[in-house]
Amino acid sequence: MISTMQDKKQTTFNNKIEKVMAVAAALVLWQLAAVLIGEEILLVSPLKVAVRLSELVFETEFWGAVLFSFKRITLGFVMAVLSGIVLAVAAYRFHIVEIFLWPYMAVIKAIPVASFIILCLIWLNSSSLPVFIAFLIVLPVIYTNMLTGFKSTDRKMLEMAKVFRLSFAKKLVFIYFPKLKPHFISALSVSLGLAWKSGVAAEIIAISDGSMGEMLYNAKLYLATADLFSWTVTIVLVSILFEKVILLAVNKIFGKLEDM
Amino acid sequence: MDIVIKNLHKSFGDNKVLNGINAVIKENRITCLMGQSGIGKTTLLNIMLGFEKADAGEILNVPALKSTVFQENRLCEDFSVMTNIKIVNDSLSDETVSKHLAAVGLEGCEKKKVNTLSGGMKRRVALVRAVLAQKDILFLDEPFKGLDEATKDRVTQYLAVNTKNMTVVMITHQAEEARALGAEVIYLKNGTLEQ
Repeated sequence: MISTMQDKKQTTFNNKIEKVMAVAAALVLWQLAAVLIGEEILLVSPLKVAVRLSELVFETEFWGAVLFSFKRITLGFVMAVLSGIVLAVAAYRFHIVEIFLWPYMAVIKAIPVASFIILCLIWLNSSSLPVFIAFLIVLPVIYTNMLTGFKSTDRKMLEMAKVFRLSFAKKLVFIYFPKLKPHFISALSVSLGLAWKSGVAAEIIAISDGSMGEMLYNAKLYLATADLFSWTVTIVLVSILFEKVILLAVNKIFGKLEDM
Repeated sequence: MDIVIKNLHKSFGDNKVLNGINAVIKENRITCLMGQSGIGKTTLLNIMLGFEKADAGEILNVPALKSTVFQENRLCEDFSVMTNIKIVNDSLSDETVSKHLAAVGLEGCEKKKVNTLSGGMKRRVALVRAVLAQKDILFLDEPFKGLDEATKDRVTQYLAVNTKNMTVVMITHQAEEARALGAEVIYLKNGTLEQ
């Protein structure tokens, strides 16, 4: 058992080393390409991006933009997660709800994000658009995965719960949660990235005042390639950090439940 | 009150499983249902548990509060042994659960997750859970499945001690298991009963 755990730790460590090496190789390749092209406006070097980013982090406008986007995209994401769960419960409980929701979910999944953004710009202001777009893109992912999770619940375990007259809360914790966990975590993992991609896309198209999307748009407008890359790196970092924190919290909650 | 089975019929498509069964299962006794595999023992148990509906006939006086060991263990695999047992009865103390686990040879397993246990250990957890649920009737579907002879003797002893004055309905293929528990035996044969 101890040997297995050590092997697992070694494998995780090796995987991390491999990933770091892959990133380093990509950065070297990027640097070489930038040197070969020799036009900063076309491709800025990673070194220049790092320098520009280190300048940006000392500007209050930078943190204002990060906070602006973070608040709106998180709000849209949280609303989508809660709504997705509620709708999945309703659809699992009442088949008619699943049938009724099907066309909406299918349409949301099929329509390109840009079409939604342009369409919604007619109805919403540029400040609330990222909230709605993040919500709209995340909702079907959470709903579909949660519904699949509910449907994968073992009917025989529900019979057991019926015989022993387990309360709804016990059924939820001991029968539904273990089945929902992998589906929920996979849905969160996918949708966290989607929320940021779609939310920032909405900010760029709507030119939401004071957002990271607006900063990206301005960088493109003034051909400030270093800024464009710096903002992109920032968005990726914030998105990854957000995903890590959320997944860590969710895993801890499930872990606590399993330790009961 | 005794459980009375009256003219019970059950078919699955063209397959007639129970064909006009009549029997009395005595209160506060252990009754063993015996017969070949696929003869309808589990179907009869499922009807008494309320999972299946009979095509015709009725079963009278089945207590509302039931406990069971299913053919499969049906335990919450990601949770501890202690949790699995205590979820069916909130009034159980840790000491009581430990005492019962020790009686079936599972001392020290309280905190182990069920998914780390062997098949035989899981079977015993399912059995202790069913006994400690403390309901009015206990259904056991092949409770000794997967147990070696020594463990089976221990578990038989455990059942004999802890099901005194309880109505127990047990499916088994082994006549000696019925004898060891001093049980009344009902044979299922061609969809009918011999009591």
